[in-house]
Amino acid sequence: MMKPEGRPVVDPDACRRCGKCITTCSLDVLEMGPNGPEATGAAPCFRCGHCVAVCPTHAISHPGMKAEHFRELLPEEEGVTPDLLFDLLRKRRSVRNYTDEQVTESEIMQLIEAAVQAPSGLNAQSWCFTIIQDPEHLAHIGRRTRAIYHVLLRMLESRVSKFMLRLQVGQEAVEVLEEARPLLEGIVDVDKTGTDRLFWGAPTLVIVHSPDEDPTGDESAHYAVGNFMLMATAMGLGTCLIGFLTAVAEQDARVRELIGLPEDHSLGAALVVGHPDVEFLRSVDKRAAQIEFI
Amino acid sequence: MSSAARPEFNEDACIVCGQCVEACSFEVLKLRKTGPRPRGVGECIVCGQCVAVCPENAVTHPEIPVARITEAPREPAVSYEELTTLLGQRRSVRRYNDDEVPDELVRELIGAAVLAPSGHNEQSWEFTVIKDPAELDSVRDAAAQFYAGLLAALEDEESRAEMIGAMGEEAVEGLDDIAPAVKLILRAHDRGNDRMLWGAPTLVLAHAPAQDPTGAESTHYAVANLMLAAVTKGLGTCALGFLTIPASFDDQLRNALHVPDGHALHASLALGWPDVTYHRSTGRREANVRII
Repeated sequence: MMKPEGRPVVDPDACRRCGKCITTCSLDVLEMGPNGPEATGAAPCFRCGHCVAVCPTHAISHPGMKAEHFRELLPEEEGVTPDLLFDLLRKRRSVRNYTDEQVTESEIMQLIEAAVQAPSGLNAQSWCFTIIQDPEHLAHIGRRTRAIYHVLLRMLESRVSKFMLRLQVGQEAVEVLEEARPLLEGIVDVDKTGTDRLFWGAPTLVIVHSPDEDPTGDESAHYAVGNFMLMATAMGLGTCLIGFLTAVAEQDARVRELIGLPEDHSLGAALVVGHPDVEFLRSVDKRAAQIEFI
Repeated sequence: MSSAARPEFNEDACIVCGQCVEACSFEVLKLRKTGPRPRGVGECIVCGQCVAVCPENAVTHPEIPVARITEAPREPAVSYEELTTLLGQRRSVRRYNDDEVPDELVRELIGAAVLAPSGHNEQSWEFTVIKDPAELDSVRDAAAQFYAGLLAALEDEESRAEMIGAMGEEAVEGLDDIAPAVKLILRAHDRGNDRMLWGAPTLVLAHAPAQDPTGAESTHYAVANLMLAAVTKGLGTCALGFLTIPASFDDQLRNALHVPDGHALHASLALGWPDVTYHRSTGRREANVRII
């Protein structure tokens, strides 16, 4: 669980006593004192930063935040329009063809900087990133993952081993596995097809994980990955989620070790990133969503 | 989603460049001298890559209505700088005015949501939007009852020992950490001051069939899109783990939220017009990054 780190500090000379920081604080951490707002409330401060963000005179700082990270925002009308955002969302596709060009470390840090702007439960920001770029290491993860699926596919072949598998992972998981069989065979048969259908030839694998003890760890990690994928698109890079790695990684000690997943962490997402070796000229929208208004 | 339907080709328009065959990750297509043809094997997940890549617009798919196809801008639509600004503009808004969010606008935001990727292209997400004030009252009341019970259990020695047995000491201490905030929220609720939905007029629930193994992950990507689309419309959102977490095991709350049977609730979002102006973004802690 996130531990609160300090409380806001108000500069009484810059403060105009407008009270905006007090009304925006969701947990009543700030209260109006004789010399302006003071952090005297009983509830813990989750350093959400709203008080810093709302102050018209830059009078608030916070020991849990660095002033060099503050960015003045453009007025709303100068920001990204809905149409432009839709264009970007449509431009993001799951890219499965990559060139050999590696993603630079500074690009990776730009992507992660975008990722961590996502919201997180109680502002815990508990996400952790493991970036795998070493080709040998990446190949090793691929071999191990293929070996796991090779065994699982073999187990589907006989009634006895299928029954054992059902006892081990449950009926639903076996059904999912059977449904995914054609795709899995393509992944396992890398020698036959000559194509990497697990990581799609991408040069970088990104693993996002968070501590088990954070009850919104996975949800927050996914929001971060959502931002990551959009920023990659904006930078001309491509991404593809690797659900087949996510599905087995937690259960296999060797994969856990290879992807740097600590014992008390859960895997939020695995995705590859690289330079697309394909150009998409149009986008194809998804099915209309099922929505119920109440 | 898998489909027995296969892409179709306009032979007059096709220049036999083979790009659709290369873009198809699942070997649904093969290239003949006269052009691409679907193979008997391979599984088509209706990803639309073949349609998207064709320079001559010669590929269609029976499962993809033409109305869903848009010509894409050649350059990234939004620059690194612009997206950074947008991501910084998104804050978890906890002050809303009373103005309603029109249904059409909610539909538009969900239209942005469903452009997200989903495992196996299942698109299994579904959305329930609660606007009826009486229904929103029941949600708040159900949550208040749940948390009042939780606080009482934390303070009762016997129940506390049971909880430690079931969840472990660390998790229970985690609950102790948030207890002061929960007390404040419940006190406010008793006074008619809404610190659960923060006065938002609309609650958006995103859920998916419980048996979809990537349902949670995919639905969260959709919600991430929705939150950004809301910013571009001047709307505010706040993800409410306060509701989502207990809804997975508290039936009263689950019913109040109208989560369909067989579905798992993956996100609850307050949605409304912010009654607050933010002048700056405040950045994040340095992320934990390991490069191998």
